[in-house]
Order: sequence, then C-alpha cells, then structure tokens
Amino acid sequence: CSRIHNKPTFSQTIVLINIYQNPQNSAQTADGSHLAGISEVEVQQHYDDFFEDVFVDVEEKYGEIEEMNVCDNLGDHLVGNVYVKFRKEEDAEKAVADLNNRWFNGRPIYAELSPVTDFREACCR
Amino acid sequence: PRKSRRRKPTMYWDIPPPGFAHITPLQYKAMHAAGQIPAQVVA
Repeated sequence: CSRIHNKPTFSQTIVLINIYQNPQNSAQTADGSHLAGISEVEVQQHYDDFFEDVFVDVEEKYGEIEEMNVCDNLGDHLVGNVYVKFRKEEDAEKAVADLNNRWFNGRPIYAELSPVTDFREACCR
Repeated sequence: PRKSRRRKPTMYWDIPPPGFAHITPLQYKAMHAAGQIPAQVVA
C-alpha cells in the first residue's frame, strides 16, 4: 500500500488520528519494565472507559453512530486511530469540522473524513 | 431532550496540553506544523 489514500469530500465515516493511547503501546523503556504493574484487566478497563467516553460524547454532540472501531495494531499510520461511522453524512461533516478544534487528553484532535464504509473490507490492497 | 447516556464525567475531552489552554487547538496545530512546538512526548 502506498498509503496515498484519496480523501473523500463526503462520507459517513470519520477518522480521529492516533487518539487512543494504549498504555501497553506507549513504550517508554526498552526492557519493558514500564509495563510492570499494568494487568490485562486494567488495560481492558482503560480501553472500555476510553471507548465509552468517546462514543457517548460524539453521539450526543454530532449524531447517531452506526459503528465505531479503535485501531490497536502497531502500524505507525494506524495506531490509535478511531473510526466512527455515522448514520448521516452531514453528521460526519459536522463532527470533523468541530472536532478539529477540540482538545482530547492534552492533545489537539486531528479529524478527517475517511473512505471506509465497511470495516470488514477495510484492508488496503 | 435526550437523556445523557454518560455514566461518569469525561476523563479526556476538552483537556488542553499544560500551558496551552489560552490558544485554540487549531492555533496549536498550526504552531506545531510550523515547528514552533516540539512533538509531544507520549505521556
């Protein structure tokens, strides 16, 4: 994949780039000692809290969500990306415009429209 | 009006980087793109 993706001018789906930070992925020590003390249960709880916080806020402010997915693989262009598919294209457009001027967890949000419509087929070939 | 489905207060939304609360996220991104703010170290 060249990673040169066409950005759609309208879409039901938006991507929030690198917004999820898995505590296990933010590697800070080469020997992995920063992972000591983080249990699987805690990582799951962290993820669940994040998912709910994002889903509830986005749906309340911008419109009905059909599907939301969080990328947790380590591809540098994918890690922490959150994809939100709205029922209506206009809600997605509104969300991108507004989210790009909001903070999240001490960082600015980078939001854009995404061409992905079916997440099971969302593999670049 | 719809009842909020939020069960607890947000931990993430609308929290600016320390020291940058006085500028907008758009201004911050423009400054970052211009090299005026170093890439943030992952917390």
